[in-house]
Amino acid sequence: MILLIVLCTTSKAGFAKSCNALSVNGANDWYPYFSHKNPTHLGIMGDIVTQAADRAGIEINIRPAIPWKRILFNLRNGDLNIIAGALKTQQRAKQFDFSTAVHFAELRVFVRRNSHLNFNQLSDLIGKAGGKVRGMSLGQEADNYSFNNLILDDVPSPKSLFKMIASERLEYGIFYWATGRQELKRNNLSSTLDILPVAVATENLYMAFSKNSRCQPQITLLNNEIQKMKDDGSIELIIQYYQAEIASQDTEGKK
Amino acid sequence: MINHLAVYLLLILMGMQVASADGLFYGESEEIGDTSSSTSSKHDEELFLTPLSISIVTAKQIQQSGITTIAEAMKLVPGVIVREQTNGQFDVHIRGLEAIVSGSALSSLNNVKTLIMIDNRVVFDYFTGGIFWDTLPISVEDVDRIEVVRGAVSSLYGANAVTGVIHIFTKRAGNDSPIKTSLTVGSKNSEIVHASAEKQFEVLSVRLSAMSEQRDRYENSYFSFADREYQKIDDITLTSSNETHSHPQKAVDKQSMNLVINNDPLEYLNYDLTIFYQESDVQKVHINSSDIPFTNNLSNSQGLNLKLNYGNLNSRFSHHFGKQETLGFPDFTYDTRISQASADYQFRFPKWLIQPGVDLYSITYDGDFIGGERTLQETNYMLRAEYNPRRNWRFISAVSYSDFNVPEDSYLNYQFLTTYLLSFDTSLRASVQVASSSPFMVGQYIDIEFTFPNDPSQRVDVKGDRNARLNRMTTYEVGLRHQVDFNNFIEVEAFHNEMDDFTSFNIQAPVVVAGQTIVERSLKNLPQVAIQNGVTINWIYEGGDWNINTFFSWQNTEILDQAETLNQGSDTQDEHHNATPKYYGGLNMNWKIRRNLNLNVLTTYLDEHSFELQQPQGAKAIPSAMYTNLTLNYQHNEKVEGFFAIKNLSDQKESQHFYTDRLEPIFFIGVKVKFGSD
Repeated sequence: MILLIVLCTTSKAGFAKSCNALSVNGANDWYPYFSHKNPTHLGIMGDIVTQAADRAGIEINIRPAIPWKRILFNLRNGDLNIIAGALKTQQRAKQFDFSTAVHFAELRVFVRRNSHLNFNQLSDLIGKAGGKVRGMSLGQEADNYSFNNLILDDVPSPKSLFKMIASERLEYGIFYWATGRQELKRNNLSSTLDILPVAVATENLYMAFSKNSRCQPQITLLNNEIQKMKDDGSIELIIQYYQAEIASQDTEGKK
Repeated sequence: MINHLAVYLLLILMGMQVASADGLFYGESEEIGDTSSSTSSKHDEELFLTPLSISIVTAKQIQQSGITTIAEAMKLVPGVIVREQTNGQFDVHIRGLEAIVSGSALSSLNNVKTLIMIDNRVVFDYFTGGIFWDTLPISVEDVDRIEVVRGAVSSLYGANAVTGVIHIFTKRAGNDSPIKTSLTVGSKNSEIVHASAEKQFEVLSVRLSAMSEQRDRYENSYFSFADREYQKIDDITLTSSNETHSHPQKAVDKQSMNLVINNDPLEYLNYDLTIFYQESDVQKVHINSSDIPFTNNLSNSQGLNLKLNYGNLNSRFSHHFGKQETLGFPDFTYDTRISQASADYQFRFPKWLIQPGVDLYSITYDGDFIGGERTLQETNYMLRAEYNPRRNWRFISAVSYSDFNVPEDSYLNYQFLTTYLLSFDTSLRASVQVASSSPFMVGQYIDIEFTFPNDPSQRVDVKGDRNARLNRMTTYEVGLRHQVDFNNFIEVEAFHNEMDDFTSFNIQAPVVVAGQTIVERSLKNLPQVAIQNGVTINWIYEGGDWNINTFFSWQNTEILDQAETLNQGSDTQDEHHNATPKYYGGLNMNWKIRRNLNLNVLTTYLDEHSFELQQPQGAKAIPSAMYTNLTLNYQHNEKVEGFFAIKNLSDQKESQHFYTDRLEPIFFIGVKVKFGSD
């Protein structure tokens, strides 16, 4: 048993192939942050990596969609070099290197369409039955406040969260605005739930890099280029493109 | 000839496909410990933070390891001892503690201290207590997951959750193919057929399933307690029964059917109705036969289980009835009617969760051994509270007041638990729990005068005791869970159990009346106290193509005031308990050779141990043994998959139980076909 534990906890990318191109992947169907659907527009985080690689003269290889856990496993072992778009959790920080924060995800309050709940600050949620997806952090300050003052159930998935709001089992839910919007569409709940305009908190988004990659020089080059893109406003342009896309989709939806 | 099941699927249904996102975007469930469980706290929570020792077996694990019965799936659970009696018949104990009273009857080897539930419905048997695995109206194909809690949890689930709870959650209609069939055949004339049809309508879902299972035993002979060797049944002189199975080689002949109708469990008002039927004809260790270990049991039962939830109010009602017959023991044929009702409510506040609840059981048996119809009634009033003084620290207390009609007494069961998140990847927990068993029909009500059919000069009078105190256990536990990284998860639990208020049918001095020698055996509480200390280590590795789970337990049990014999007034002494192996564990290894090809190796180990029963059964030493199953799963396409398994590979050809069949390698080959559009 001890031998097996040692073998399985010390597996490294010792047999990784030589570095011809940086392999990149991201969460499956995580629009607008990452998406495999359009090879020329990979979402905000995907496009940032693509553009940074172009500018630095690094070849990249976008890997096909696979389960998220497998992506993490591949990154840990060095079979994958970059995840384009990830939250930085303590467990992940132990395993991977991270870029500077390149974007952020807003956490918003989701309510039923006919709800009278107005949200401007966390104290507006006192006494109301709310929920969030298990393990999701609202940020240090909001986490502390909600622990002491709110009734905030942990539910296993975004789908459960939104269905429980729709069925009035919860009065509100807190979730990421952009991905929550996608989940509502996916579950035909866009006309049942509303997303309130004021953000509860924001969570930074990063590029995650493998610590066991044979391509460390290329990763460093790419990371430096991402920082330059942040400084020169290129990242902001990419974000604006997708914001316009979302706005146009919303307009289409209303028509 | 193997019987074939005629399954006529009643619903020809259309499948639906709903795009589903990878639920791991947000980092909430990418770690092994994030698996959902609900049995430990009566509400959903992540495994990593559960306050009790709990393990989960999923349908996928069952399929990968070629497991064909629910009891066999317990081989995948740390801290559980599984012994195969014959092909398809298993005996399952959580942390052992079997046959504590030395010199007891053969039936004392059966587990009467673990509660088993299907979708919250208790399926415990109240004859002498225990699990009749053969009478469960479901097959492994109906199982969604099984949650196993180790430790005394009567404060949550009422009487008989003494060493733990095995909670089976069954499948509901999903978005998969509407019709699924499965055919498994194997050596020893094994044949298992299962079919299901399911459909999600706009407002409700329906799933109908049916199964048939036939198996032959590993042996064609039986162990004769009188001659101390395996013999053909015709060569054994039967003294305690007057009839044996007409097909002595037949191990299992079982059929069952289930219909489940439910709406979305996330609705404010949600319901879930199961209607079930089963019939079985099996050979197993059950009645205390003085000739051979096996008896032949015929059973049928049917009933329904209705769950109705309204917001935070959860309620359930079930009723089932049926008949149990032990061939050759006509006194022990009986009809059963069991009704259960329960309700609990969750009050949620910041930092607090308070759950009051009530359970009602009415258990009616009608048989000659208890002089007609008898009813046991149990009412449990439960109050559970969780308090979080800090974000990483939780206190839980649960108190259950159990009131019985027989004995006219009440029992207080409780648990005090705490969990502490030492860091984001390490949790600690500690607990004190007290649980008790329920009264049983034989223990409380039996009143028979049994004249040996083949020797009328011998008679045994067996008398129950309505006021006997109920068996109780206190569990002290500390546990640690550590998420080493995304791929490795380790948990360690150390436990101390104290069990007392055992009962046994003590033997009075024989008297001779009208030429007949009469021995009276009457139920008495015993002075024995079992003290058990142990540790279980469980390690899970989930990699890209490899999953490995290895678990190992060490335990030591001492019996204080063990009576030398069951004779009234026998001397007592402290002694080491040998019936639970000191070391036991397993290794479940999964290798995804290709995208559609999977190899599973399941190895279990039981250290040497021994049973010491009354005469004429005597003693049995079981040598340490390791058994390995190899299973190859192949997915041909989305609709067709199959497996090949070879089981019981070992250098031993030995009985794992009390002179039951000596195990031998057996193979299974199965195919599953899905019909209809997804």
